[in-house]
Amino acid sequence: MEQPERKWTMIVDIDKCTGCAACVVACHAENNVPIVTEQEVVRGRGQHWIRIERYWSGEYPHVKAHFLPILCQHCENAPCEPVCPAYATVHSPRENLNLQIYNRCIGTRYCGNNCPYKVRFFNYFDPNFVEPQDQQLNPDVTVRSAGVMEKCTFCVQRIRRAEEKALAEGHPLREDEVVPACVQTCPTGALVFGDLYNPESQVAKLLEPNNRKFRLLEHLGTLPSVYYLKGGTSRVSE
Amino acid sequence: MSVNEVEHPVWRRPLLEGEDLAEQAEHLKRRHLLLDPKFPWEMNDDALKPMYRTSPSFWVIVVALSGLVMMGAITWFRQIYWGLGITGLNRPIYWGLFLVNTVYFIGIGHAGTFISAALRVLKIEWRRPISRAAETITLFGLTAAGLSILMHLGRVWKFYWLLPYPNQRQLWPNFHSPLMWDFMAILTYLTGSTLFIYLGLLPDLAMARDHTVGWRYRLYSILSLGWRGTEKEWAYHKTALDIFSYVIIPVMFSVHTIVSWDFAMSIQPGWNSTIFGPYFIVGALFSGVAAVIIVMAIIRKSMRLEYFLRHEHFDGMAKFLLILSFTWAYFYFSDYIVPWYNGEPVMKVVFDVLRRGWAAPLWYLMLFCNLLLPVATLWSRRVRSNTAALVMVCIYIQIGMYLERYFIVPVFLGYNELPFSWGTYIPRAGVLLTIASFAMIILLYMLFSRVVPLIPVWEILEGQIFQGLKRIGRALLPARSEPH
Amino acid sequence: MANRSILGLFHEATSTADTIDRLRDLGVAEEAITVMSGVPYTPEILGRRPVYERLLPIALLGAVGGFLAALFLTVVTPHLYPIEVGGQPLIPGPPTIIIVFEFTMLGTLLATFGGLLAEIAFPAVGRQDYDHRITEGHIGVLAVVDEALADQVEGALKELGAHHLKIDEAHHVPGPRPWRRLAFVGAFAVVPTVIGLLFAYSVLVIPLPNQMVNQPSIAFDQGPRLAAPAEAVPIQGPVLIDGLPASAPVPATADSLQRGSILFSINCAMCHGQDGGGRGNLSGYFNPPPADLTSERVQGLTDQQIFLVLTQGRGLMPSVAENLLPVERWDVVNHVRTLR
Repeated sequence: MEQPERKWTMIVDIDKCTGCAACVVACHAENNVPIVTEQEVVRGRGQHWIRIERYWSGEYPHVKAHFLPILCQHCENAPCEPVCPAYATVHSPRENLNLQIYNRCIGTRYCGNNCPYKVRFFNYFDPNFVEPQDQQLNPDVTVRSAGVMEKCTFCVQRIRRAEEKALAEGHPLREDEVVPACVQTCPTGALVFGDLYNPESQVAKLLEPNNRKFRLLEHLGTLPSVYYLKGGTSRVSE
Repeated sequence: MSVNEVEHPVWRRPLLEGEDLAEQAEHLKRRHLLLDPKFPWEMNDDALKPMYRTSPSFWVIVVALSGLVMMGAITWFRQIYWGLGITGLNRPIYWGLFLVNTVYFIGIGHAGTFISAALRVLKIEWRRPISRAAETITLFGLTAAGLSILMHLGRVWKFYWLLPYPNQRQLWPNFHSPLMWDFMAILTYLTGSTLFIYLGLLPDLAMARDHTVGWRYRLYSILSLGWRGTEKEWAYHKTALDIFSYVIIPVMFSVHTIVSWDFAMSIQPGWNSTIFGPYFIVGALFSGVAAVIIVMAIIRKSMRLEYFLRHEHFDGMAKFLLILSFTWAYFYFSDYIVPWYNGEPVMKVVFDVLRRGWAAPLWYLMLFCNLLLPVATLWSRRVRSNTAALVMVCIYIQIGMYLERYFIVPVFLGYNELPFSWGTYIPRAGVLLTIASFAMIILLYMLFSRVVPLIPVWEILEGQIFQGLKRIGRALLPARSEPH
Repeated sequence: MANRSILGLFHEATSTADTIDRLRDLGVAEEAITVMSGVPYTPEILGRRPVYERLLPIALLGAVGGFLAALFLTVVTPHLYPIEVGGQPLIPGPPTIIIVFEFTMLGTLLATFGGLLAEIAFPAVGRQDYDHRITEGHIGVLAVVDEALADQVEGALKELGAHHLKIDEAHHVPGPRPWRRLAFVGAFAVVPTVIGLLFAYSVLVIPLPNQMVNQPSIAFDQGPRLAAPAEAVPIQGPVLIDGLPASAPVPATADSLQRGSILFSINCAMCHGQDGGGRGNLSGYFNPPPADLTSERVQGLTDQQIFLVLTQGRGLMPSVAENLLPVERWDVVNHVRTLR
């Protein structure tokens, strides 16, 4: 088995998140995520690899909104992986990514049931990219047909491109060379991405002495790679 | 013994002398099939004649069922073409009616195996006339379950990737996955059940071959493989049936346990309960025995098998059903009280929904059907001897057990640790396919009953030869001998 | 001397047992006597030697086979193509036990059934000594004896109460005719397997929809597509268009320029004007108007980009690929360069 070289980690600073959902749009654009119709959303099939969960607290008129961006947590002990009978979702120990291999997927959807964060999406229909959206599709990312599962990949296509480029240029991958679409787009810098094994990286520095950090549903033992930072309160309206 | 004192075969034996004994003997004859021997050629007739009896209403039902099956096939093709979106599935409820059907159909098949194999091992004699009819439910139930699994796949045309064979994809299937264990277990069970029913059929196919003409004769000649009933054949046959019985019982237990582990292995709240293994087995036997009773009642009436299927058989199965209902209640209560006591937050919400929420009417209906009704009725001999009442109770049990599986799959899936991702399931295309699956099973059963004798005549003859009457004091009692 | 097969039917077990004793006394070998019945009578009842049947060892052999198959699948195959899933070890303990159990049972069942068929030589082909009354509750005693003994045997059977005697030339023993039977059974097993394998290895292919091979997204070397914005990375080197051979630029020799000039005036001047200023005779009919080839924007493109425009078209301009060979297009490109 491969030895771990990197540990791609994402930090989501909830105190900085404004709920603008630019990351959602960026992810759609980068990863050819289909846009489902309103009818489908009503049926409960909204499809966003990263979604902003909005919670309200307080009584009117002192209502506050809280935003929680949730994406695939790329768990080290991912519960979605062992249950796929076709090895369509496997772990890459070299870089700690949870990979989704579309053309192996036969659509049993057990992985979707077993994900406690419910970040896995099934393509119930073929994607419908209305012209000229089909011109905008990213050729680096497979457009999935009906019947396969999909989820956030930490923009693995960008990671691969950066790795190949670094190899061609003959230097080790610098971590600022890799930036997923959501991280690139976040206006407040609430999303930070990097290699946790690299002590110089931003994520390592942010996480090191931090009493604001937590992970989602840690009691399940999934060991997610997405850390959330929350200390103060984020206020949208006061 | 000289030739003048030749012993009569059991069907020629005169009734015992003495009026008081004669009355008792008559009474016992009426009640017990195995004490009521008939001429074998008459028994053959009784078993073979129903195969020819296809009344107009039979054909009407066959055509109607075929229509439903066709509708199901068309819906399935639509689903393959457009995608699973035409069902009511969504996120987080990725499994819906198809999985409910799968578990239900595998479940009702367990009674067949239990009656053929376990009752045979335990030497319970009233299993004799019902074993084949019950095993047939297993056969077609497993077929429908397999089809339901295929229907629920997103890319069903790639299903063969789950078969372990060397290929150019550099992949073998993932045996970490409970779905693979499921696949292997159902494969084993289906193969075992088919071979088991075929083995038991061989002597009866020979009998059918000897008493039919035309296409039936040709069919049975091929299928009976040239069975003559020599000692060697019988000896091997018996050993093979013994081995099958002993092996298929653990297989049967393992199959539904493994089906339950599709749920128990996950971390979905409400699913990862360690009691699911035995709970599902008992549930399967419960719904299976009820299904057997329903089918028995139908074929007894429609195929005029009153000689073979008597009150004693329904009584035995109904008593078994009562015990199973207690056992099911025990397991359901255990599965309920543990998370209730723990106060696990998600399960608290779920139980609230079950007790007071939108699911309450269905939940109370399920408890009524599975718990209250069997316990309240099946203890009574009057209910057990009234076939119509018994069948009604069994139909309610089917409804209750189907609801139970419905709760486990789509209802529990709607609730998880993150409330933002809760959902409800409203079945759409799945309903049509469910109806078509039921229609397919009934259709196959009806056609099967006209091609294969459903009553194992050789087993009944064997039982009648080795059962007799024994006089103890003033009473005449059934006595059973056993060749070793 | 020829053999005779004599079949007598009896009503019940006692007279059958007596008959067998009498036949034994007459010197008929045990193996020559076959008892057939519609209900299993044990050898003890008929006074016969118990049948030595070997199903249990065959079943155990099947169990071992199933066990080994399961071990192969769960222990060997993960090592062939190691894939890590969910933090579980490569060979997980409990799942391995499950698979081993199921396959062992399957092996046992298949071996038992197969063993039964093999040992009793099923399916039996050819004519057999039999009577249909055996499935009506009669017990048949079949003796295959020498012609000399035949009369005695016949007499004994009649005396002990046999009804319906059948006497025949002994057929070729309906025992093993292995090739025919193997072929029959083999066909059932082999043909579906072969067909399945043909599908599995894509020799037979059903063209189904929903394949992800054909992607709606446009790859980097695929056209046509909307024009790239001005700051997009220019194309270097030979032009690679999906489905066409690579085409390298032609040096701008005097010949090339002269050819290019002629081809330009034939193919391009109508819209772009003889001087390339974008005011040809037809330019008024187009909105937006044909491009000004003398502008900085067009002259700033690389040769390859201009070649691409000629080959694929752009906006309202059609592709001239069917009018001009690639080398002719490069000539035109060279000419366009002079229109500064």
